[in-house]
Amino acid sequence: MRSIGLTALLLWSLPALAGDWRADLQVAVAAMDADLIAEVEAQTPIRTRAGFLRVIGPGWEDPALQPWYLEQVLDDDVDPAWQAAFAEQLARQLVDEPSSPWHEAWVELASTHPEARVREVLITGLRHAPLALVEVGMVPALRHEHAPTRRMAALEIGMSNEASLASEVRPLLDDADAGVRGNAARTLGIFKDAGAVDGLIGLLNDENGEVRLHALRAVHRIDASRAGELAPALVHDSEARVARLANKIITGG
Amino acid sequence: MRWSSCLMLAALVACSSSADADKDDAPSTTSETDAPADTDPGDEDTDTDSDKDTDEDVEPAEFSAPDEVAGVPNIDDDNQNNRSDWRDGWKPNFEDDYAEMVITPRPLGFLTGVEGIRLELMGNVQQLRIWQEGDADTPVLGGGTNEVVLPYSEEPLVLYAEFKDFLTSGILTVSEVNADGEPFLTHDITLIAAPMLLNHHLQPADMVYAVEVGASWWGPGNDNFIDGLSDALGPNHFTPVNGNQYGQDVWMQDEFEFANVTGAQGEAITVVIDSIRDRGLDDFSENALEGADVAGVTFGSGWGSSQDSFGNLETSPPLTAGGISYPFGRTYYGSVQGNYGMHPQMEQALDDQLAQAPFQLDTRFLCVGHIDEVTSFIPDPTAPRGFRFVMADIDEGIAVLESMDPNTSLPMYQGGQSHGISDVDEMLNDAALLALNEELRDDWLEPMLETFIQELELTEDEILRLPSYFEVAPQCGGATASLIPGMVNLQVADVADGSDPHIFLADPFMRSNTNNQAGDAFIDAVTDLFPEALQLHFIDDFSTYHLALGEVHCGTNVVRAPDPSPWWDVARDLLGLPVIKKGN
Repeated sequence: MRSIGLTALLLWSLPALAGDWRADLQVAVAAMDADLIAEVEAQTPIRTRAGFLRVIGPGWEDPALQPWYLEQVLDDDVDPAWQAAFAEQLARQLVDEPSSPWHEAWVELASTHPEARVREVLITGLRHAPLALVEVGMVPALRHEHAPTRRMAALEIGMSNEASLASEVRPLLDDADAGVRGNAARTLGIFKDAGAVDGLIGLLNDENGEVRLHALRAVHRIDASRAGELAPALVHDSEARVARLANKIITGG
Repeated sequence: MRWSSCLMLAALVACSSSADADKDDAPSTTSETDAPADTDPGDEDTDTDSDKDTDEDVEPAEFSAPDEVAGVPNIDDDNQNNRSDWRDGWKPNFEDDYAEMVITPRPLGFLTGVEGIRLELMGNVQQLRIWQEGDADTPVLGGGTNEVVLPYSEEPLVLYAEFKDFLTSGILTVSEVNADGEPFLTHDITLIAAPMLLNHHLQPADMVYAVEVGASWWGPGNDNFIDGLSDALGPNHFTPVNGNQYGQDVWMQDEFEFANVTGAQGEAITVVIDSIRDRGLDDFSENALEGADVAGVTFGSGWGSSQDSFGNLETSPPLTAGGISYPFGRTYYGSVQGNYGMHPQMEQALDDQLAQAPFQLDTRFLCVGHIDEVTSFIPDPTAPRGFRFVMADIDEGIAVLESMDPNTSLPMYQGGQSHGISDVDEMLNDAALLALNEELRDDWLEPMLETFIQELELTEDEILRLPSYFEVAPQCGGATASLIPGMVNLQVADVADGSDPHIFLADPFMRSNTNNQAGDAFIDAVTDLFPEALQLHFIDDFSTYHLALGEVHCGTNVVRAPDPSPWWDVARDLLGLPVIKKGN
């Protein structure tokens, strides 16, 4: 599922995602097995060690539940913690399907769902999706007004390894939110985006230590010799991890 | 002849009286009030051998009493009335947590005008009671009464000290007095309650607990996990807990931390520190554990962060570091520095115990944020200090991955329900995933290891680097969790039955045939790394624990036998107990 070629690009192209999924959803839910709905509604997700909910078990993996998951995700009366669990499960199923009527819903909701935690899991779920879905789902999230959503999109684009999206990430180096700047720097470093080096060097003076850390590492990943030139100025950085990385770059450790 | 002069200082007892730690049952003599007094607070003479020789020259005891009584806080519920025994306020016959003191007055004291025995209590008087044998209703001291004169008798006076809390301390001054209350002889007894000592992995395991959840169409069960523990430990040392009674809360490690308090007269209470986490297992301690000689305590209240779970609270084995002996190890826990950590009252309670000198590690990079996700200790008789420190290690993880056939399929990792990774090649050649792990190594794990090395004076030889690999976990705001089941999150159970200690670790399932552990490169690597004198059990925690961000340690908890070392002796410096002062 990670690599994407021309065929996949065609399969996942934007026009294919332009259906009226909300109307389709009503039809699909109406067609669902009432017994299955009754059964799933009687279940409770497990609580992870971190405290959030997750659905694990063969019953939850039934593709026939996808319309129900989507309906729950859209239902304002459903607890956002449960919505997030269902959204995560939906994304986990959809990423394995080459085509689905709910792909459009997934990528749309990744940046439009009113609950931040739901947007987050939908964005995270796109990590292993083909480029077309990553692009349609994550790029709008990079522009979201809610900083944590931008942070997550900036991070997960990097985790998707889709370097062709680097130009979409670059503007976030100037984001008002330090977490967004840091994740953008990190992602551009993973992408080895030479076009980002000047912006990354500018972030070496960022007031936030985490941002300086990601920027220095990103420069190192893109142009190790340039990082070697810059590192001496950071060996006494107030952020211990920056100083540590600078020393490591200098010593070649 | 000695003159004892004791002062209660803010932190603990600062007392210039003779207080040999091992002399609780060895009464010493009193001091005559007209004897030369050694009241110089700057006198730092310590109890050297030569001093002891001097002690032997002291006149034989005429009025004997202990110098020091080291007891336990009476926090358990011996009479099973659902209330701590201290709160009961009376001395039930079956109480076993009082510290006995036998005071033997001079014979024929009445001939010299002795009319009474005066008892004076100083120090944490609101947290101390002195009971007299046979008096079951009211203490002779405590509860607002800090001084009393008992009629003189030649018969030994049997008293009992009762302590309310950990490290409650005070001075009981015993004097023979005349009819006007003027003292002839005076003796100070230092009273001190045990610190709460958190258990470490080298202590023998009495009982291992895990929550049993049945598999269903809508939820993963943990039959393999329970069977793995049960088969190795048997019913005498393993108890499965019915998950239906506790909301299917499988995180047994997180709800409680076990500790012990012991007294010099054999008193012992298992302490269950009940977290403010308060999820499904919240009532388990009250229902199944607490009672006679098992006490529940909670520090803090209200909302608990993930750091308030006790997978995040661990203790090293006994060691010396920085020239300081920590005979009960050092406590450590994860925090998110500058943001949040354990509840302040919990942190304060740990600090207050003094003996285990807590230190913190930054765990903000972890989704769950518990220190047990990346570190542990195992026993090893061949190690310089009897243990090895185990740490998650990225480079070792990469090395093992690189040693594998890249085409090795990984059925447990496949599909959206799992990690969405088909084979070794996909895991190893994911550039972003590799970058993430390199960052974790450089920014978090290596600095953390350096902190451990500094705080515990670990040598390279003591460190075992466990192959590990992480991922960004969904619903975690970008924080991470183990991608390959975290074997470092292990449980140690030395059941002291003559067999080698059991080590329970997560089965990494880094193989094509999930039913056959033979040939699993990660299991082989860990087996090669660990001492031979351990029984390793790689148990299946994948669906119920790993995919829910925990592993074996998270899902188990162990009641351990108390460390038999006498804290009142071996931890005197850490506790600030008085050094021996010598008079003439």
